[in-house]
Amino acid sequence: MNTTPVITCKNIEKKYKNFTLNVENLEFPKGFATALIGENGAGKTTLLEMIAGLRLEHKGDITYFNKYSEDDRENNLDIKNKIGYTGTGNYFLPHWNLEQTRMAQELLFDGFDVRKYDSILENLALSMNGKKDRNKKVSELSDGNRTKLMLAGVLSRDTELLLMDEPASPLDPLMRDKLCNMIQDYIASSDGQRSVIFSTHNISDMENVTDYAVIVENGSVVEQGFVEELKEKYTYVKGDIEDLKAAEGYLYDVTSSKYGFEGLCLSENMDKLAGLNLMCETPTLMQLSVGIMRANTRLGKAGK
Amino acid sequence: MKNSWKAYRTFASRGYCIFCYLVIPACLILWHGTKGTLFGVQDINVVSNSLVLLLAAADYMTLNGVNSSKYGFGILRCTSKGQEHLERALYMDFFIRFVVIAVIDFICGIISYQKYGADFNKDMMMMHVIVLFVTFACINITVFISRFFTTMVNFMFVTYLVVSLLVVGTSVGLIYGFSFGHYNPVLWLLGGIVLSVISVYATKRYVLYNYRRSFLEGK
Repeated sequence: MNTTPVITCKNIEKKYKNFTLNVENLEFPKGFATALIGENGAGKTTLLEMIAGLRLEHKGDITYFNKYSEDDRENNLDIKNKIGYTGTGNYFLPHWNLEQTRMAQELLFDGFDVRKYDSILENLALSMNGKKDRNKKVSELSDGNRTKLMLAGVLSRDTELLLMDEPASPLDPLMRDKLCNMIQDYIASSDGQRSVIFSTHNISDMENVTDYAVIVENGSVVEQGFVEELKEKYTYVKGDIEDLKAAEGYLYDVTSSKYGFEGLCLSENMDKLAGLNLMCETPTLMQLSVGIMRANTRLGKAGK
Repeated sequence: MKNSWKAYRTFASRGYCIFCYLVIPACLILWHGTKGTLFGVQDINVVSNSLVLLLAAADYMTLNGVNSSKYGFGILRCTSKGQEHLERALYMDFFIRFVVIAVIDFICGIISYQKYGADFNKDMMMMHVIVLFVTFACINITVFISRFFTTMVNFMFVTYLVVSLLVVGTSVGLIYGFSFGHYNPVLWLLGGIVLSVISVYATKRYVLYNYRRSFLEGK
């Protein structure tokens, strides 16, 4: 599919003591919701924070909206204003109360719509009507409510790109469903101008809203593409244990028990498995992600 | 000015403002007007010392930890206006502090004049001006140091320690010097102004340095 990138990462390198993030070429398509998937410590947060401009020291280039460089992002007020970021740490200062969070956002972001903010908070059952509600401190809120507060903040702004670091993790299932709807509405409201990039471990819950997936392992992008294309690229196979030996060599990733095996196979290799008694399915995003992550993980490989 | 006040209010809650800018001044003025007889006409020093301690300790509720390398600037880092916002809040913090000290100092001066009449001479008026700058500088120096400490215990320990040293130094110098004639008002005034300017500059500069550092790792 031909798309315009909203963010392009080229030759990104960021070294830590025991970890290096290395992204050669990564494009996030404009007008879609992209899920950044990977195990803990794979580099998702680092990458998102680099894109958001929260980590300035790295090699390589990031291009915004297909034309602006990182220098432009720092020097042109509009660019950072077009980007909404929600993180996992202390986004709002912990001693702030709800009134202060509203006041701060009004001052810090051009185009912050106070009415919309109040209405989203109301909709998310986080009312600011009473004096008691307004004086409630951010530190007194649950993780889920803090995430709602951040979401209400970024959705009340006139942004073109939302960067969300694990927005679903602290939310309950109902709220996750609402989050998916909010992301869909955000993208749909702009005629292809708005994009969302989010990292997640809750792949099943977020599958409905994921158009494009980027799978990161050990600091590198190991797979990326539109979810529908990835589902064509891979096939999920299940078979009896006696066929495992014959199939193993052609499977991208496999798990087995004493009764049978299942795993991912590149669709182009399916003809090599002809003659075996296999059940073939279109993989879910969860199966795809876990399979690709497992094939590339360092988990359990230490010392091997 | 309006935006600076709003920026400041994002750090200072309504409760803090009422406590620091209404309750504390009212109590100190009331004390000065009714009970203050510790050093007679020089009672302003007691008011000043109390003010240094109370305002420096109350800073825990606003910009606590802002000099610490672990301070999370959160939302301020997500916008191009973050640094400007911080700068405005800091300037307003200095401004309000100075105004509050000046108002208390002025009202206490009027009270002293009413109470002591002729004893409240030109030298005493000068002392009130000196006290204004010395108090302002002492609070700034204390909060500059205590803002490196994020936990309440460490913060309070450092605050009390620094305040004690500064307060003992300045009030002994002023009261002793004034009472025994070893007092050079011009030198004290100049010292107070210079310390005030340096403390404002250093405080603002370090907070902004810490803010910029938050974008860089391992620094």
